[in-house]
Amino acid sequence: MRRLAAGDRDAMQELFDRHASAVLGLLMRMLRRRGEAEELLQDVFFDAWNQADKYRPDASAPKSWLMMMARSRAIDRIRSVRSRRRREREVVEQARIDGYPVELPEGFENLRREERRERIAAALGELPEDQRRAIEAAFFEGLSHSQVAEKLGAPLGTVKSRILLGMRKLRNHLT
Amino acid sequence: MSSHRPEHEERVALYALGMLEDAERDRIEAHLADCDHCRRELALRRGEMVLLADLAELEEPSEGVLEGLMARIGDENSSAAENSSAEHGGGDKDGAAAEGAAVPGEADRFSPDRSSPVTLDRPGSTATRAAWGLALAATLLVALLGWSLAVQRSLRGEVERMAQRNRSLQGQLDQRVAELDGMRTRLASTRSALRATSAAPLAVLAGLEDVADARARLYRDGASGAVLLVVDALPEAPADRVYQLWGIVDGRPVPAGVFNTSADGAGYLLTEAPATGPVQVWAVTEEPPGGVPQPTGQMVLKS
Repeated sequence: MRRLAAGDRDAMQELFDRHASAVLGLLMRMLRRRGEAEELLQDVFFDAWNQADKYRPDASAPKSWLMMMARSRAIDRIRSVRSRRRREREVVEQARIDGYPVELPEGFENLRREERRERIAAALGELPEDQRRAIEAAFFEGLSHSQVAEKLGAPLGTVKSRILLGMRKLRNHLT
Repeated sequence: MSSHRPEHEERVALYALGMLEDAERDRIEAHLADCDHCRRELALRRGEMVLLADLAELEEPSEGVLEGLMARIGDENSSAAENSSAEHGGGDKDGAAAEGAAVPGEADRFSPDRSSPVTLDRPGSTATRAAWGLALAATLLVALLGWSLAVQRSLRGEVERMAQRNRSLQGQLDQRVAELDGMRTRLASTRSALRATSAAPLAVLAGLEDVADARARLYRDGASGAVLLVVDALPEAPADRVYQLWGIVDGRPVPAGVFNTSADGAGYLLTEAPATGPVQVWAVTEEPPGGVPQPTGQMVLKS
């Protein structure tokens, strides 16, 4: 990442080779269209190039940083917000993402991707179906609070409870 | 500085999921700037988000995605380098390149191979640009006029549609008002009937001949003057026939309304007493639909 901040194009290629497939996987899961997902994939890595000087290695791993940016862009695309003011906000948010750390649950830092997937899938599988569906709708469909409530046909308060309870149980399963 | 409250942790979790919008989002972001505890919470929640992201299958980018990215980065670099030399009298190529590189994806227009045509076009370009400018302005004006006319036509149509809908709604409103008036009248009648039955019957009618089991009671509402006939055990009138109530005043039958009974033999009639004088006898006959001015059919009930 230091090399990236110094303008080293080879460093960008390495970053891309290492993490693009995971980032694209998330984008495709959220957007469901390859063309759009690849367009945002380019945008995410282009942002990484431009903001590499703001990246703090103590705050998050490069992949976490990229995933957060990717999800943020995907949510904006899903919610079809394209105003100029919103683009400015994206830049502000990405700066904030860089500033605020990402902390994986204990023991997960050194796990291989497959191992992490197994554990998170198992933890998610332990949740009651309504909580799991609410979390998946919020995370993978990029829906807002009110949109999740509409999709699940449940009141706002119920959706909030399901998500918060589900996230708490998920956390307990992971630690 | 916003003080920490337990509900902030809930909002941080929703914020990490990206579920908050607008004012809620602004508020929690302002709070995060000041609250160490919530920033830690956010870090943990986002860690969980990163793990959830791992659930997505890996997808290999298509050919060309990386090249496109590197091209954008390359143009960004060119732009940064050339902007710094443009102040020292760089030629069109540099200026054009700087301008083009600001728009990602369009850098090819300003690649070094294509810079010469820009230079060759320079002589006489002022007049050409002016002509193009006038033509563009004229085109825009015509387009604007056309658009304006189209908008006017559309608005006129919309106004007409709204006027029509207004007329239709007014008609519906008038109908509802009429129905409401009818309901008010029926309600008044019902109230009258209820008051009437609270007193002793004015008259009791007995069945005659073939309908000897039939009975009827006549009540009067002193407030409104209405009379209520309540009938039991009188079979339904034959097809195309009705029952008619009569008040015999000074030996002459005065019509007082028509009715029919249902399959169980029950029926009622709310009507007005004849205004011609006190009724000595009340009777019911079987008559054609709508009733008749003088009795023609068989008498079935009599007081």
